[in-house]
Amino acid sequence: MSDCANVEMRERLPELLHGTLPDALRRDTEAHVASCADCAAELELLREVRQMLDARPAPRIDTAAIVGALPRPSARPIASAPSRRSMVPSMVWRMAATVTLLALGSLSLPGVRRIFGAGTPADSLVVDTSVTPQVAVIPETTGAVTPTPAGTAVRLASLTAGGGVTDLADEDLEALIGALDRLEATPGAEPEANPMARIITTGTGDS
Amino acid sequence: MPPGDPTLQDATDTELIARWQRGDERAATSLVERHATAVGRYVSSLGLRAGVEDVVQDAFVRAFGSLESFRGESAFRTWLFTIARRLVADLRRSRKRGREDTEVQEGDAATEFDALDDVIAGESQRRMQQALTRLTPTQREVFVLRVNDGMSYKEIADVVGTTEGAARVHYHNALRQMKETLNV
Repeated sequence: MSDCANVEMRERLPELLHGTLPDALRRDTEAHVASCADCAAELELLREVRQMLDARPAPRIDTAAIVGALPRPSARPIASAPSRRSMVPSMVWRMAATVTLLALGSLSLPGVRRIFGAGTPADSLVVDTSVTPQVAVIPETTGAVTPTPAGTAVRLASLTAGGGVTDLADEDLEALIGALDRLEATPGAEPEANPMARIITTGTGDS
Repeated sequence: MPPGDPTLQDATDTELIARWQRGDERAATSLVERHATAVGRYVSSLGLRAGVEDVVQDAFVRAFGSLESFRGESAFRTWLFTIARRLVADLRRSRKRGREDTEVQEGDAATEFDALDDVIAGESQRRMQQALTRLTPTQREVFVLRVNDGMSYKEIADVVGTTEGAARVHYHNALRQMKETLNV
């Protein structure tokens, strides 16, 4: 068998075999094959190879076992009736994680206060540089000196903790839950697309 | 998946993935049933004689475990094949390190095709099988992905870890070798 000189047609033969060519290309290719003995013979060879490969015994695959081993979906609310089993545990864990994070945050702040000694309450700390020009000094620290422009005040009044979920605005709570959703116990497994493309510019042999 | 559920049966892979991500576990069943056998055949074609089902299951678990990073730039099946191929390579390395490797190594010509003598009935198919065994492993893998799985060169390149151009060269070299061996 010689090779047809029409490389474009030869390239379409596997797709013609699988019926994946668009209609226009399929008709065009079928018309070519009908008039080209080389392409007809090549298509027949491909068909025989496929038949031989299809004759291989399929490995025994227990699809139910695979499904059972899959991780649970992330369980965001869906319109099409999600199963209760998939939704409830995830929501419980998310809320529990949120409360835990807030509790830890509220516990850590008093500890910081103890370390730095008695000082200004964190939720109303105001350093007015009109009183202490040029620098604002945090009490009983060693070297923690923060230069500030004269006439400005560094206000930390927004630093609050320990108030529970009610202290969070809706958007903050949503952002927190979203961040929790993105946490993964296992790293992503999607392979880098075509990693050899960086180092292989031409391919002329077998690897 | 309930038998005859047209919503799931007619859905594309991308639609099923989106449904699963929204919490519909039936979509996962549909995806597994759609692709598991093809992945298993591919793993077998790489020469793995034991542990095929484990590799297939692991490939699905890993794929579903990182679906959020699946960008949809390739077909879901291509992604599964790519993961499965890496798992087979890892398995071979670990078996080799443990001196338990009874599997075919990357550079060997022998594959599962050598074990098909008993199941290949006709003389024509037997000759075809022998012609396949004479291809290099890479030629054979590319040729089978193109002819049997109908993958494009881009998809083959993603699975095998090469370029589209190299995949095209491997395919045509394999086809020429097949023609020469079969004297057609």
